Amino acid sequence: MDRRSFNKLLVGALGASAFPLSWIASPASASGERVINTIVNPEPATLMIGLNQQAPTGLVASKIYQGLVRYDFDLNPMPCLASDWSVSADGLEYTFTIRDDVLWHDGTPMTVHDVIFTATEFLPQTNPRSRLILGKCASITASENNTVTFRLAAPFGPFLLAFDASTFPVLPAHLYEGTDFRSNPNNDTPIGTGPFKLAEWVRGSHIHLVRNEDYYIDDKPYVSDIYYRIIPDAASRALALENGTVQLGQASDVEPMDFGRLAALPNLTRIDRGYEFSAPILWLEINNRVEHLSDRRMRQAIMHAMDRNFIVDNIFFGIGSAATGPINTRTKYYSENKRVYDFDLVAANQLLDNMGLTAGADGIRTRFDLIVPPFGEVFARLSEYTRQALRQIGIDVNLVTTDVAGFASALSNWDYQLTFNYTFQYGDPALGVARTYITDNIVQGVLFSNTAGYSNPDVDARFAAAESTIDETERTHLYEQVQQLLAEDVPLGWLVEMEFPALQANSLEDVITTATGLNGDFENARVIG
Amino acid sequence: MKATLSIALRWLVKAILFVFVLASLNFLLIQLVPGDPALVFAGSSGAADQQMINQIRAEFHLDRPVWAQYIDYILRTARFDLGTSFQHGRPVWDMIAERLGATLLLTGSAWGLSIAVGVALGLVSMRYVGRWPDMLVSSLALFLYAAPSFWLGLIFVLVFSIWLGWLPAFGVGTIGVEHSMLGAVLDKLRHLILPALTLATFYIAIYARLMRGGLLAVAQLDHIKTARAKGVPQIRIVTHHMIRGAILPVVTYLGFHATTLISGAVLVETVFAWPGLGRLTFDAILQRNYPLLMGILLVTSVLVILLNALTDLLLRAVDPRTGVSA
Amino acid sequence: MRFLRKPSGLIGLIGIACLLLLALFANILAPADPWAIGARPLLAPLEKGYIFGTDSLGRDVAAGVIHGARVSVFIGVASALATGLIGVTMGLVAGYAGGWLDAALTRTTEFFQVIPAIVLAVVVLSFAGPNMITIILVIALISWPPIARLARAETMALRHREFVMAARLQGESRLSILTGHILPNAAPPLIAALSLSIATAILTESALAFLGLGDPNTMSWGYMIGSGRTMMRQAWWITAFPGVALMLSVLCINLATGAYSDDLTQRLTQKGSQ
Repeated sequence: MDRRSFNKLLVGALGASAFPLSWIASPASASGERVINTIVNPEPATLMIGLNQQAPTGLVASKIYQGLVRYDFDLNPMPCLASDWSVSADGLEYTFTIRDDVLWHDGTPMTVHDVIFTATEFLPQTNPRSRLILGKCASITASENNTVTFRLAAPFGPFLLAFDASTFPVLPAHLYEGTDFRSNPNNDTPIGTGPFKLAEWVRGSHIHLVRNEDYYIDDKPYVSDIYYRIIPDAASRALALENGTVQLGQASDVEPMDFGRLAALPNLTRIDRGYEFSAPILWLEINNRVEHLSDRRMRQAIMHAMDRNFIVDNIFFGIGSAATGPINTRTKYYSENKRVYDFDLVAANQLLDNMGLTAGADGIRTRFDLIVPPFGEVFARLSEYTRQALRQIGIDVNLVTTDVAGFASALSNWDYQLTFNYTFQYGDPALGVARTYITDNIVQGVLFSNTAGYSNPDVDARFAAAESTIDETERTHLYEQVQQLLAEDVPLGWLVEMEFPALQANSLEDVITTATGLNGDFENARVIG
Repeated sequence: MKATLSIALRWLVKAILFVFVLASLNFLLIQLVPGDPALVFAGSSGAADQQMINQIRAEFHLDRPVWAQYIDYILRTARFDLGTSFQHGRPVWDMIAERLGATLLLTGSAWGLSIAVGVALGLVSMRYVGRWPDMLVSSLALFLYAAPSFWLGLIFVLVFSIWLGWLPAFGVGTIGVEHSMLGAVLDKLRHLILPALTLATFYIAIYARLMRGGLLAVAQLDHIKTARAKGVPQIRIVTHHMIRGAILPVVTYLGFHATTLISGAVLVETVFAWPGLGRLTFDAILQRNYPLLMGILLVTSVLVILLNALTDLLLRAVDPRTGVSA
Repeated sequence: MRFLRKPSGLIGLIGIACLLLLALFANILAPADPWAIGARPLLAPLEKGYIFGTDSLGRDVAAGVIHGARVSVFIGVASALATGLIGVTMGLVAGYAGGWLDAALTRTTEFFQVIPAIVLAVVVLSFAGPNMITIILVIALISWPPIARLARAETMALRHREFVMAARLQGESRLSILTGHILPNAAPPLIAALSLSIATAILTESALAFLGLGDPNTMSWGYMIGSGRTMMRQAWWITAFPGVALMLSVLCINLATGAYSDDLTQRLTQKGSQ
């Protein structure tokens, strides 16, 4: 064989290789000119929002499906599929008036029957979070004049925060009733009531949504097409935002260090709203059962030893703010009136001295293992920082890496000493915060429960009381006390209030108009210029 | 002909046995892993409770005893059914097949590139033996042989993409720009150059050295000296006599090279975000995606066996004297 | 030691010596803990006295490179020893015993050579969990086949030699023959191959660390390259310098080993032609 043959081989290899056509094919031109190109990462498993509560599914399917209400930036409900609602004086009955002019994407009219079906049959079977909330209802019935009444067994303060598309997407009974939900063929062609319909899904490339021409609000939506592009690499996504191929993205789409650079570009604007509903807090998860960690002085010392501002500046590159307690400043009933832990190594060392933990010749008082969550560079740097920070107070931290399943298993089975974790707060402490601290939710084998094993009857009582009343003053008072108690006990090392600012091209307007931000239905979004 | 048939048959039997043992071992390996897939799937949905976990277990047969899962796996594998990936709700084979092309493209290009450039550099070395081009090629080969491929890839990105802006840094095509057929191929070529080059560098170094050594040895042979004395033009001597004589070590190495391409692809695909099997492997491990992992291990090993067989045949074609026993 | 007279061998050996010195005296050359967070983040090389700059957490890159030498040397040598143990044993037994044992061992060797090395390494490490011990064992797991093949070939060539025959006639046990006669004679090419495997082990560890499967408590060169990858645009030095150190180390080992085995080949051919 000679050189010529080799070169032929090379050209042949390039030309004849069988790559999927989707690589070459770009999505066909949009039908109208008002197009939004954005990103979804990673590619969702399905768009059937009732079956899957993962973030990518929610991001896209929230344009196709809708809930009874939406929430504004102050977490007040606004009409969506429900035009009006009322709460009885005793807080036990919630009555929603459902719009009668809504059509499913296949033309069938939406009725109260769909709402009842969703609430009593579909969601309890498929969505654990909905199941928990809807399970508090004694009955869910339709009444005259297109209304649905939820009758609670006991008052539940945050009940109205459970009816947007993420917690209560209304699903078509005529397609799902009496079927096996998970294997229903309609799952590939999601039918909803939202301002956008699924036009095409090219796996590995993009998801194309088109305007719902029969949307129940005239003129809306203003956008004709939305393309969710699937770009697996952070650097590629950053490039796409930079060169305008994509006009909308979120902070988690790019590496934190790139975000600042992109936000400063003339064609992009940073939107610091739209995450009021999720408002997560990232914490150092401390297993309260482990020796020394069970002593709250140790936990307080750890809080004093970590410089949360340094973490926000250098590990999160300024995206986020220092957390001071269990409730995010954007969640309802946040209170400042509690003990705070400044970065103070002297105080930290003093606490450990008081515990009687003396340092050996190597300066080490005790050792802990820290499991590094396998979710990216941020957690790797955070773990390294924590190890250095705790070394300053004589604690030797051994880093342990694992994979996602190992992490989930270790965390839910309490097989850890230190790690990191965060959960969404869903707007109200009863919905997203209580589950982390109440004794009843210490369930082995389940994630997002009280995995740290903290138990305080005073806290339990207050959480229970606060959720079963609708009196705002009383709830505020109770949650203030909860925060004070938790700030003293420090069951977890709260570090960062995570933020998910969006990056929006200057040609877009009114994209983020609700507390769920990019997970809103975009009915108000416009493309200008 | 009969000889080739019997060899092919023996190879086939051996390959099937190999795959069976491989499949069994894969299964065993992954069973030893701590961590519960049902838990992960439930957890990544954003909320988790026991009912949901049980549902997932039942759906994906995780509630059956291990030996039943094993027999099920072997039988399905024989039917080319590699199971479903729970994380994506899609057949494993589909996920592998759609990435296979990208990896084959990358590894094939790197293979061809390394042979072409390596042989060319070897020729240069021989032509200017002892003088500065030879020294340059030899030094280059030394450095390329020692440099880690993933680091070299990053340096290429730094120099050619970030600093010079000549070539794209990642992915397989420019997003959002519509291309004609030719334009699309050219665009893909632009994206292919850096990753293929990165994957090829190690072997460029090897082939350059091998060719140089081979050519120099062949140059001393009698029939070459005779041809030169007879006045045959230098070009013809080189292409018709010397390369053929010197190529044997290179071709012998080709088989070994082919089998290590997949491993190399994992690193290079990660650096360049190339949407191939290597990248898929890494993602699958992060997600503890058992069916996908097993599928990838199997497919890549079969690929290696196939490549081995192909290069074996190639070796025979080039030099029938080499009887490599099956 | 004649190979020292060749310039490549000499350069290689000097390089290796430098590497060993860095590893041994890391604590004196760079007394600060490479993990220590003290300086301002993202200082460019030569800024404020940090010759290789600092990373995103303000850690000294030069200190990382120096301490990384220690990790590389340790893992390289330990892996080579483990590889040698497994490979030489397998090869000696297969080459000497012959018959079905040889066939079985050879099949096993082939089996391990078929599975793509990095894929196997990554899978095993993710269930074993990456730490020093598992990394060394995994590297040995993917590196032993070529050593075994070489050992087998050497053994097969040697077992028919007169001194082996003589030893058998004298009733020496097989183990004694293997360790006393065959191994010493097979040693030189095996040593050359194992020395090369040190370089491969160093590269493999850095590849695994780059992919995120390194020991998170050790500052290895691969780990630094991996962590600097996302910062290429802002801070190329985090990735560049550890990589140069890697490349030079591997280069020197290759040079020295190459000179040594060239020398060996020369001596063998000279012997052969006698």
